[in-house]
Amino acid sequence: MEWSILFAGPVGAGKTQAIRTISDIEVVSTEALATDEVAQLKQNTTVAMDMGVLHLDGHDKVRLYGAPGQSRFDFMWDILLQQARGLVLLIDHSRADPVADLDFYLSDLLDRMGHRPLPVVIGITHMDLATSADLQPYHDYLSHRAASGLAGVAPIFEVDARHPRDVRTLLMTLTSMLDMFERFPVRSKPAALGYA
Amino acid sequence: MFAANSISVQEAPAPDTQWLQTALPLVQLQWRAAYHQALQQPLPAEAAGELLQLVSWPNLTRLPDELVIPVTRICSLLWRKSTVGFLIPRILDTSPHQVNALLQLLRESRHVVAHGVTASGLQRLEEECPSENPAATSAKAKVAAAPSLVSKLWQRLTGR
Repeated sequence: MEWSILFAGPVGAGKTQAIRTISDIEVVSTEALATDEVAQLKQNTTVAMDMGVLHLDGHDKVRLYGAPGQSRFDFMWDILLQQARGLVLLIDHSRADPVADLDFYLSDLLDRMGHRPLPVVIGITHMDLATSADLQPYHDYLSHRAASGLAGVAPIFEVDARHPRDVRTLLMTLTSMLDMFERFPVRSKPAALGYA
Repeated sequence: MFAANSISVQEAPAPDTQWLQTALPLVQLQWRAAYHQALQQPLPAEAAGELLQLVSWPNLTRLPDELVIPVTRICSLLWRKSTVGFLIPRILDTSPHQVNALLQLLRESRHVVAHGVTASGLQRLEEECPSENPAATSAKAKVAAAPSLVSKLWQRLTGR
């Protein structure tokens, strides 16, 4: 059996690096020389997808796909989302307005998912490069979304895409959420349980 | 082992004392100290009957190694399903002592909030508890023979 997990987020957030950090195979990349504004950030950028693999017992495997960050390649987001069982969204904390980035990617990707339930884990990268290392603005944003009924409370935590422990924690959290999806197919409505 | 298609989690292995030799980041040290303190202060009996709701997730990558898995499991459950405290160890098939200590920390750090629950709500939650459900038990036996991809991935990532 094969599954896939999608890594998405802005250019330079560390999607390719995260897959490279944990993959059992050399990552298959479709990188091209950056010629637009991305060239100011890095030399090469993903134009179709990256792919790594986690081998499991009994010839099962999980494919790890990295989506291109630029929205002009967003047709790939649909293609990769269609087959994904979970989404890892990486946000570069050192960019000018990372909460706006989170809003853009989360809203866009959730729209593309439609009514299909898919667990989402959010990793905040490059915190060491920013002047402030505070997750509270992200928590505030997610609480606001949850309160508006737009989504449940997604896990969000600091990630260094070069560290296997951090990338493993991202995938472990996603796996644990998938387990709960299977065990409790219907999300409980707390109000129905009689809050005092 | 758990119910149908669930992740297998065993009791924590014997304490690894290697951590004593390395200096931990401050946040990890604070969590570890608070956890050990919570282990020695059991939750009041009435707290075990409150309905727990996840408000936000802790910064999981900044927890000490030994707490990452149990905290992730508790938060995943509460993310999917608000649950009464005393049912959590049954659903996760893990130590009530450890779960209670971690719930205390999650409540103190406001990641989890507690609410009262009506008698009918409590009854419904108990009926939904998989480990109490005979059908789930028979499904559990099937899963033991053929682990799901979720449980294989979990084993691969956690080494358990």
